[in-house]
Amino acid sequence: MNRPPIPHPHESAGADASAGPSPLPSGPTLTLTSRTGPGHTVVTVEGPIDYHTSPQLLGHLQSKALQQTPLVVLDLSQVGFCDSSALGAFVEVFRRRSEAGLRLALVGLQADVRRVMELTRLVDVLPLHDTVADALAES
Amino acid sequence: MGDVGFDLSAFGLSEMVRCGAELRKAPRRAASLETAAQAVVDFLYHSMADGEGRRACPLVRLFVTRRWDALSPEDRAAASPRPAADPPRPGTRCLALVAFRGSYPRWRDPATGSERFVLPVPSRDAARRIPLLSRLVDRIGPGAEDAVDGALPPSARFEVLHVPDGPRTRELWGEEFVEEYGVRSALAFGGPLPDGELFAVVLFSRVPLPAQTAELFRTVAVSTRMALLPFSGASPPAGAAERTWRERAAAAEALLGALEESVQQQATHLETLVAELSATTRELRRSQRELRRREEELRGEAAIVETLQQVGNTLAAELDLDALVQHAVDAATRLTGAAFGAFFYNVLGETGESYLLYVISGVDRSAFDRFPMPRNTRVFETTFRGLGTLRSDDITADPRYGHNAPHHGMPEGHLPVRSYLAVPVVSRGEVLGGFFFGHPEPGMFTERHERLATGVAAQAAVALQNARTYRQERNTAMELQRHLLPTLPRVDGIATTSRYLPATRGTEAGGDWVDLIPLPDGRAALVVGDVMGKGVRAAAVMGQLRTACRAYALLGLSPAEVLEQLSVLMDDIAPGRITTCAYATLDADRGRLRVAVAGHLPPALRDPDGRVRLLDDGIGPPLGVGRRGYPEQEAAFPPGARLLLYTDGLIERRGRSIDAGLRHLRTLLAESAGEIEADCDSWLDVLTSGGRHDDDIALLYVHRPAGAEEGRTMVVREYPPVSDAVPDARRLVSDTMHAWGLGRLATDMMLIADELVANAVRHARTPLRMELRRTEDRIMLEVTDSSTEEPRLMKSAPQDFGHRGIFLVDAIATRWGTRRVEGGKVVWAEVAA
Repeated sequence: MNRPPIPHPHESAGADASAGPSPLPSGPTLTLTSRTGPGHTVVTVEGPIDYHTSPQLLGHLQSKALQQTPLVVLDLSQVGFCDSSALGAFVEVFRRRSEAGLRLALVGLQADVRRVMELTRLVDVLPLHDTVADALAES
Repeated sequence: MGDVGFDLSAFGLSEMVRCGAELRKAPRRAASLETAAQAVVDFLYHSMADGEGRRACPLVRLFVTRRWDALSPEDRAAASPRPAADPPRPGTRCLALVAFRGSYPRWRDPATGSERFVLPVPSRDAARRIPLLSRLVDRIGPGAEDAVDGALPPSARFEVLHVPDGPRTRELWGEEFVEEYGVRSALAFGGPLPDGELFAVVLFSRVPLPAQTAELFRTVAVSTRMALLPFSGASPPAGAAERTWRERAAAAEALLGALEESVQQQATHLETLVAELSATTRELRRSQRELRRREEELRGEAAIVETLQQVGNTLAAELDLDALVQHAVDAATRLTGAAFGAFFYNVLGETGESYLLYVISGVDRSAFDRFPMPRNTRVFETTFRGLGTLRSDDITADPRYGHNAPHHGMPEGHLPVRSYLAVPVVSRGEVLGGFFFGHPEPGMFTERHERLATGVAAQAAVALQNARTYRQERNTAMELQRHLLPTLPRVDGIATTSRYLPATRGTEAGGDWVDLIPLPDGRAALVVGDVMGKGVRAAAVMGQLRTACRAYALLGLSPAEVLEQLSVLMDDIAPGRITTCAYATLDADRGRLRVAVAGHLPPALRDPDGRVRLLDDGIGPPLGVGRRGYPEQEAAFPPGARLLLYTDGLIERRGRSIDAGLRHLRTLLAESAGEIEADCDSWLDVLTSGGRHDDDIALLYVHRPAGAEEGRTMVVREYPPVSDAVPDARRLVSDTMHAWGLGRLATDMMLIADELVANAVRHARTPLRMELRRTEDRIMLEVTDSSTEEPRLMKSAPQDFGHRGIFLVDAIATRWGTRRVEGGKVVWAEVAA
C-alpha cells in the first residue's frame, strides 16, 4: 500500500499567508548554504535553530549528498540561538555519521550557543572547533 | 339567365345532383331538338362558375349524330368540302353541331363554319380535327352499323372524357384560346339517343378540372339525354306515347345506374380520402410526438447547459483548492446520479514533488480510508493517462477489469460498483486528475450523464489551473515580501509589535511596509509607508525606499528632512508612482515624539488616560513631488502612551468612508489598553470582519509601559500546538524583557520560554497559554496546557536525543516546577531579577 502522504490542507499550502494575523515575518526558517571542497562540505547555517527549524537542519544534513561526504563542517557563526532541539539534532547527526565512519565538526559557536552546550555537557562530546580552517586542518 | 350556381372548383355530389335536376328542366318549353339543345347549352354556359362566382366556361357546344341522307342540304354543304366523285354513303354517321354558346369570336364567324359543323364519324379526319369528340363517340359504342331503330342498345354507355390542366392544352387549342380565355381544361360527355344516334357536349373551362370532378358529369350526361329525349327522332311513329313511357323508364333506370355508379365512385373516393386522412393524422400525431421528443431533448440540452453554467460559475469563483475540488465532485456526483463519486487530483508540494489527493462525495470518506490509492490498472489508466471518458454499464464485465494482483478487481470491502463512469480532467495536455463515479446497479449512467460529467471535468480543469496559478503566484509574492520585510529589532524602553497582512484576494505583493530603526543616540525611528500599486515592481520600490529610509535615519536627519530626501529619491527611482509615508522619532527617555507625514494617514496617539489623537496637524504631499519642506509635529509620549502607525488597508472598506474608518479605529484604540499583541489581533479581527480585507494591511504599534505598570506587568499569549509557537513565544518574551528594561535576562527567559512551549507542543499537543509576569524581584514564566502528563527531570546521557530541554530549564531557572489545574497542568519557571 504505497500511499503517498496526504498533507493536511493547510500544511500543503505551505506559507499560507491568508491563515490569519501573524507576526512579521511569519514562521522563521533557516538559510542553509553548502560549499563543497575536496573530501568535505561546509554547511553554513543562518537563523535560530530550535524546535521549529531543527527538522529543516536535520533533513538537510541527512541528504544523500552529505551522507557520502567524509567531513561535514557545520558553521554556526551566524546562529544566535540554539535550544535543546538543536542540540538533539547535532547529537543525532554526529551519532549517525560516526556509525557510518564519517566525520562532523561544529565551528564558530556564539557565546549563547556555547553556553547551552556547556550546560548540557555536550562540549565534551561534540567535535567543536573555532573556525572552519581549524576543522579542516585537523583532517 | 345569370343563375350562376355551380362552383366547378368545388364540384361534389351535391352539385352533381342539383345540376342534373336543373338540367332536365331546362328545355321544358322547347319545341325542337335544336331549341332543347340550345337550352341545355345555355344552362351549362350560365350555371358553371369558378371559385369567385365568374363564368367558368367560355364555350359550350352540343353535337348530335345524324345520317348523311338525313342531313339538310345546308348541313351537307357545311361538311368539309369533298370532291364530288366521292360522296359519303347515305348511311354515313355524321357529327353535327346543333347548339353552342360562347365568347370565342371565331365560332361565331360563319366563315369558320362555326354554326355549321358536320363531320363523318368515325373518320381519320375527325380523329385529327376533333380528337376528344372522336374518342368520346368511339367509347359510347354504337358504330355506324348498329343502327337499331328505337331502342337503347345494351352496349351503349354514357361516357365522360376530360383534358386536365397541363402543358398539352396550349398545343391542343392554340395559344389564342388558352391565353385570351384562360382555358385550362376541357370536358366532353355524351351518350346514346333513342333513335340510335348519339349526343355529345363539350365544355371548355377556365377552372382546372381534375378526373374526380369529370367523373361526376356522367350523371349530367344522363340528365342531358333525358332533356333531349322528347325531341329525339324526326317524327313520332305510331304508339309514340307508350314508346315515350318506355324510353323514360329506361332513361330513369340509366340515370339511377349512373347515379349509383357516381355515388359508388364518390364513396370509394371518400373512403380513400378517409384512409388518407387517418394516415395523415397518424403521421401528424407521429410528427407531434417527434416534435415533443425533440422539444424534451432540447429542454434537456438547455438544462445541461444551464447546470454546467452554474457549476462553472461556482468553480470559477473558487481559488481555494480544497473547496474547489469538493465543489466539483459534489456537483458532478449530484448531476450523474451516482451513488458516490471521487475526484483524484495531483498537487505539487513546495519543493515540486507531486501528491495524488482525493475527495469523496455521496459517502463518508472513511469508506475509502482503508484502500490504497488506485494504481495504473487497465481500467484506471484510461483516466489517469487522459485517454478519454470510460462509461460502462457493468465495469465488472469489462474486458479490462480484474487483471491486476493482488485484488483482481475492487479490494475486499470496497463499495460495490457495477455502473462506472470515469472522466479525466485535462488542462493544456496535462492530466490534472480524474472524476470517478460508481453505482451498485448496472446500467445507471446514460450518455447525458457522461456529457454532464465531461462538462464539469472541463470546468474543473480550468478552475484547477487557475487555483494552481493563483497559489504559485501568491506564494512567490509572499516569499518576496518576506525577504523585503525582515524582523524588526528590539528597542529598550518600548514594547512594539507589527503586522503585515496581504490582501485576502489577489496574488501580488503590495508596497506596504513598516520599520523600526534604533538610532545611535538611544532614540528610535518609526516608519510606515505605502507604495501604490501591486506586484514585484511596487515591492521592489518599497525595498529601495525602506533601505534609503534606514540610511537617512542613521544619519540623524529629522523627520522632515528624511521625508524630503525620500521624495527626491522617489523622483529618481520611480517617477510618478504615488507613495505615502509617515516618519516619527521617539525619544523614550524624554517622552518626546516628532512626526512628519507625506500624504499618509495620520498616526494615532493614545495618551495614558485613553484619549486618542490623530497626528494630522500638518500633512505634507506624497513622496515623489521633488524637493520640498515637510511640516513636523511634536507630541508628548509619556509612560503608558501608545502610538499606532498603519496603512490604509486597515480602515478602508468597500462601502465605508475613510472618515468612518478612522472614527472606528479611534474608538477601538481608546477602549483597548491591554497587552499590545492581543490588542492588535482583536482590532484586526474587528476591522477586517474576521479576516476579509481587499487591500494589504501593515501596522506598527508602540507602547511605552508606565512606571506603575512595570512592577506588576503580565504578558499572556495563547498558541495552537504548532512549532511556529516556539519562535513567536521567544520573541514575545525577549521584547517584553526589553520593554521592562530587563534586557540582560532576555536570553535566559527566551530559552526557558522556548523549552517550555516546545515541550507543550511536542508532548501535550493541546492549545497552550504562556504567561510572563514580573514582580518586585523575579520573573515568572508559566505555560499551561490541557495534558496532565508531567515533565520529569531526566539526565540524558550526553549522546541521547531528547530530555535536554527540562535539564536546561533546571540549569537556568532559579527554581521550577509543575502544578495541576482543572483540565490540565502548568509548568512554571522563575528567575531572580
